[in-house]
Amino acid sequence: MEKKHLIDGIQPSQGPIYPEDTIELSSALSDITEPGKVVVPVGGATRLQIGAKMPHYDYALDLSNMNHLVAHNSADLTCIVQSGITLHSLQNQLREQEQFLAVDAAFPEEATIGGTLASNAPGYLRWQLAHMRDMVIGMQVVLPSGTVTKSGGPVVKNVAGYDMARLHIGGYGTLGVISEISFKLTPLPPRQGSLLVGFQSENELHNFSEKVFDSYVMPLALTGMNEHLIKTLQIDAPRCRYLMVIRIGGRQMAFDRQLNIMNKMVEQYQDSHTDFLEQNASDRLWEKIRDFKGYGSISSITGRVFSTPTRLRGLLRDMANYFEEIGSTLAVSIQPGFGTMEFYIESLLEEDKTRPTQVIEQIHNIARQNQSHINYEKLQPDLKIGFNMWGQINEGSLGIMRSLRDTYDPDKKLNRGRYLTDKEDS
Amino acid sequence: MSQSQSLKMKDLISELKRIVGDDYVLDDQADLLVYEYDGSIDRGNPVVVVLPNTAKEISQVLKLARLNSLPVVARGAGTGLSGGAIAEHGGIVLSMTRMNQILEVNRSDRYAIVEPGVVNLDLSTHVASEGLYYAPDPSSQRACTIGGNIAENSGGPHCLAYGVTTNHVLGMEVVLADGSITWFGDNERDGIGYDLRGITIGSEGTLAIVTKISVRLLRLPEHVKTMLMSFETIEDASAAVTGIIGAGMVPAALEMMDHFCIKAAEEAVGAGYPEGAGAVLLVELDGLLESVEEESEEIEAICREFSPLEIRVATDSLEREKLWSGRKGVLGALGRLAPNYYLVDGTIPRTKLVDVLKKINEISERSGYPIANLLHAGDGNLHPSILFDERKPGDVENILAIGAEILRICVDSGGVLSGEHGIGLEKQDQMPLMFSEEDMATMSLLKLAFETEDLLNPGKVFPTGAGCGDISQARAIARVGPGAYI
Repeated sequence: MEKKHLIDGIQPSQGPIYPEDTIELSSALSDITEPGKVVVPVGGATRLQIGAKMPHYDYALDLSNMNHLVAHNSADLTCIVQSGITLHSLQNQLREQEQFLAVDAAFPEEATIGGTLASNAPGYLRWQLAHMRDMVIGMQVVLPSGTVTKSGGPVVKNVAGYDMARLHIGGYGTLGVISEISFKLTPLPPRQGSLLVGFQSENELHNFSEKVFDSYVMPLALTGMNEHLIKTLQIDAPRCRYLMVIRIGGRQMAFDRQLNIMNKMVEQYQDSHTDFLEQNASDRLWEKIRDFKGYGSISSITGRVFSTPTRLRGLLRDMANYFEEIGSTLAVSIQPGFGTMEFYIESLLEEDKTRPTQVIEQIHNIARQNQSHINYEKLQPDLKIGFNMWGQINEGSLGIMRSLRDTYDPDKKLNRGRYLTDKEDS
Repeated sequence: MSQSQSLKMKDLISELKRIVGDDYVLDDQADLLVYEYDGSIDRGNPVVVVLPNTAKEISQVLKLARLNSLPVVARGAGTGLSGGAIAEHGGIVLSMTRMNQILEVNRSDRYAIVEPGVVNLDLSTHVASEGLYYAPDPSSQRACTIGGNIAENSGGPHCLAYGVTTNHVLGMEVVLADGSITWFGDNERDGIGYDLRGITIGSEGTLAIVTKISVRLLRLPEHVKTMLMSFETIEDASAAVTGIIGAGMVPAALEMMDHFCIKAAEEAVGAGYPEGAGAVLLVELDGLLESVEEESEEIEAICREFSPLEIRVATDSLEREKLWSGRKGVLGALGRLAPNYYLVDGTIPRTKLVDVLKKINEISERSGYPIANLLHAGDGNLHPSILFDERKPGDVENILAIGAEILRICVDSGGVLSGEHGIGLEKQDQMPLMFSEEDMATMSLLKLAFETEDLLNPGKVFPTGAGCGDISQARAIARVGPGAYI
């Protein structure tokens, strides 16, 4: 067993399976016929900690050997990949043709494309380039029975049949195992760089991001963060309580124009700190931001909140007030264009054992009060028991989701007990 | 119809009138005729047409339909081109045109909540004063509804850069087959759980009835530049398209029309297209002024490699609208060239444009039927339109066979059966060209997960069990009644 196959302290009862291709993947699933056996598809295991704690599991279906770029039609801006290819490997190969996949999930050396899609991994390149599900134009999936099935195709526009890939992006491998994906690609911008703008108040941070949102600037990525995160990431932004990092790209004249527009905006903030990073330094900073997914200690907590751009203002304020009230620190990043927030708690002062439970429930309440949804991505395993990591979903949607789960995986062979569709005792 | 059946029908009509009001239930044969067709070749007679005004009314109608085992087909403006809104199995047609309100525009968060009967263009017009617009722009955008766009996952010329309907819908209120009302997604741009919003878009009304839609709005661009490039041959124009995309350029729109389309558009609207050209490209760039200028220079340079006859840039918004009027009006204008046309919708890899258009030309020459080629060339979405006269014996059979052959070429070239019109009735028996039995069975399971009684738009998307090719044509011909316009 590899260390990465250990999930919440649970190790598989059988040896791992390493299919080399779709046929072997199909055979592996169809060969597991004994009722009650649980299979967990594994990519780079960078996001395997997400989900409820499983009572047990039997097989790690490790896709890391399915790691090939099957086709790259650079003249058509499309490619087909096996799901076990890492983001890093894929981007390196695409870069040779000055193209890239507009997905920037954390730990690209380990994170596989399949795992990134299945876990709906967050990224920062969504401001201009949309959600990664919009890059997927076709998908091959192996069902729990071993049946190989596909939808879509290697063309950029297609409405033939149901868009089945949508179910598997964010489906955490509960309806099938993604084996191959067709993507549409994006040309690499000829020039890139990042502007850093520091502020003294939360209000200034929000006002500035609203101005960017309202301008003709189209950043590749934009994120704001609080003082704790600035310090944790060791970003050189002296005396700043809040920081906005804006990544822009394009041809030279368009690039310069965007930078000019933003520099003019910054002039209105007298106490602001600004810095501009050329491409290499900018890339290094974004790698640092991208790869921070929480603190290392066992008791640390990471969560993701889904909201709208304007609701982030109330969310950030309420979260900061609450953590001040309880005397703990909170590192936060927001993506104003996309309306998401990620928060990182290093540790909670454990005056009593119920403290962490009270805190995560209160964070849930804050999200609810701000009409937002929360999903815990990292929680110590014993806190997961009896706690809904997935947050609230309306009953109507949940009913259909459970029906889908029952339809495609009636025996709950895949990832049993981990996803929001599965009841705790399943 | 037996007496007991007609009595039952009388009760049903009364009950429907109780739910939506007397004026909003149509069961007179003359009224029903209006709802027997859409923009496709197909026909089907509903038993009754209901025009609801709220999700609650729809919920009650669905519960009633379920009790009486009556199929329900939702319908927007009826502009669909694949028969998706045809009541092939009778039953109830839910005409959504009364639900046409723009309920909310949130400028700060860039979304709007609309009812499904809102006409596509009306939304962009409504939010233009806020500096915003709704990107998907099907050619029928002056008539088609956003609900219908969701059913078919509609595209449009500007989807090259901005994506199709599914890329612009944040969430939707739906009524499920059992009458329950819920939301899939909301106003957020991401969320947890299976993407029910995404799977419902493009499902052709077979999974749920959409009653409210939250759509993403985009900022109107600072600058727009529209260029018309004419070429001696369609091969040169196709090669230019491949060159543009291959160079990593993604304009806002990249449309192509051949000499038939140019002639028709010129005669109809006088768009200013050069009549002697074998093909024209309509290229639009938008964004920052500097970005548009840099990219247009590169595109011009690429096109010059293929010996254009002329490169013309629209100098003002009036000229730009004139150029677009030809493109958007060309389908209607084809009526000037022949009594009827049959529009085919397929997508191919953009690098295969030259090869596939050559094959289509060969089919035209061999068969003797002119084929006008209109393309969303930038994303490889072909719309070959076969010109014919339905009054001539054998013409309908022949053009359906030609359409099937063209689609087979698209699939054999690595493409797909439909880029933006959907499968509906028109192409359901051609699905096996693209999908295995396992693929289609897996898709069918999705319908079962949503509803077990096949109440919503039954008999669409999937083959009827007959296979494909000849039988498909026979079914299509059987559906074309005397005097039907194709």
